Amino acid sequence: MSLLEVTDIQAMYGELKALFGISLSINPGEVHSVIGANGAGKSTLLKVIAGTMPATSGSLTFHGNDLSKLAPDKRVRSGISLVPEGRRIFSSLTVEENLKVGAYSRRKGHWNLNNIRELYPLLAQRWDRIGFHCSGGELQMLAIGRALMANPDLLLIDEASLGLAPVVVAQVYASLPQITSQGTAVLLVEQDMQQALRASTHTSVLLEGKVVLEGTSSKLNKEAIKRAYFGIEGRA
Amino acid sequence: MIWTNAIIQGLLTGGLYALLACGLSLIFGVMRIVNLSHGDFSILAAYGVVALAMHTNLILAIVLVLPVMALLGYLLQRGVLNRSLSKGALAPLLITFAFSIIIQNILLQVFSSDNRSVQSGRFASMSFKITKNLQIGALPLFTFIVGVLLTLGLHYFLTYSRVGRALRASSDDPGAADLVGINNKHIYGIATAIGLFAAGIGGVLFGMRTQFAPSFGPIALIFAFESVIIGGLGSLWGTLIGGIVLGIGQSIGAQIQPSYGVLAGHLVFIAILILRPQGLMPKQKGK
Repeated sequence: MSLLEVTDIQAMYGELKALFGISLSINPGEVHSVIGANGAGKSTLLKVIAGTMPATSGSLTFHGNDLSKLAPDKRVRSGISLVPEGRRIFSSLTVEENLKVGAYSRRKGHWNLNNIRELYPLLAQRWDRIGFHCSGGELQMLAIGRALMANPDLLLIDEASLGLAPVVVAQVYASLPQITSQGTAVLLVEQDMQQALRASTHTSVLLEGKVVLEGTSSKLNKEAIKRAYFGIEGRA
Repeated sequence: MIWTNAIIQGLLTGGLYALLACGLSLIFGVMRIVNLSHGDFSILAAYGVVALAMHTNLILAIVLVLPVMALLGYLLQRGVLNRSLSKGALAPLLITFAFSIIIQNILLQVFSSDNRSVQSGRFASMSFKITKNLQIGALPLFTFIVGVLLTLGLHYFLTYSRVGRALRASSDDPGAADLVGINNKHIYGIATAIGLFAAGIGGVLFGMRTQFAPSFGPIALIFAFESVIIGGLGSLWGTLIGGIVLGIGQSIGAQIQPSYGVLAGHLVFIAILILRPQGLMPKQKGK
């Protein structure tokens, strides 16, 4: 049985339809990347899974249980954590306090303050700095660390590399294997196609709210991905 | 010497204002709700103690009333105020204004408009002689100590406890709080519970010092508001300092001319608004 089963999800922003029937499934410990151009519906998909946006139809099951009626805070307790777009770090709280708040749901597991310090040594150096004064890279590591403190079974990461220096992006991606080695599955939304393919086991390409291509990351044809990404019709 | 005396008495009165104000400050800090009924809840608690103390002793009456205030705060937040939060800034303001009117009229019905006070027996008139011209009343001193201890307690609660951190997180960004598993509605309930608990302590001590009537809520609210603004919005220590500044202002005014006390307090408030509108100890940027 897969960890997360998304079946034929549709979602709307007011009158505007954003997702036109998306399906995907994720198994424990795997990294599934979702790539696509701006406005393809990647972030919307993560919001629907995290519960901050309702699906208008379709089904969501996690550990075999229906998710659709659960509020976002209850989904965290059941094991889904989102690293949101823009990081959303608590600006008046220190790095340490942000991590402690991340453990609010009291889920048991591998991740605690010490293990996060080892995962991201940079955060250990900024331990008492308030979120307001952290740099973009620190914020991204802190956001992932904060989400990990809830010991999720499924970690959703929105725009993992957006706006970050290449050095920081490399550090963030280098930490993924340590996360999945704990059995946590990662659903990664990414604009950088190469990065996403390298880091993931499975990839789905979104275009205008639909999955246009999916498969094992290492076996997907680069040309096919490019055509899917930009929506170019043509022979395979 | 008379000025030293005025300053010390004002300082002690400031502790009372801080007690009346710290719940107001917390509720505003976490939810951005301006609780116009804050003073009325203080007076309500004082009446509750007056009514219960007729049947039992004062300490037990206070111990019974304060948790009821906290429970009332939680229920009003979850039952009424939470629903109004998504409807703009005006809705919660109007609702707390309505609470104010409802409480005043219920108190008027039940207790009439006669002045009452919380009888604390000898404690109210006890005092310590420091020098020939300087005496410190036991009740004002006790009130001040309670004010400082409550501020300290709230500070430690907000800084080091799991729920306290969640309160600050929720105040920073309720949407992100949702994403770490915090139920904002519950957290808001806790904030108001603490707020009304503190308002209750302030109200009971206020009622021990002076006589009060059902219409006294807004007066308590004004002093609380001025303390919060003088100290700086959203800062608990600021609120304590604000209360003390207001208290000292009033007592120096009263020293010049007994009827000038309250007026002098308002003038200090206006002066601070003009000279330092962010308050004496404003929340730091990003804090």
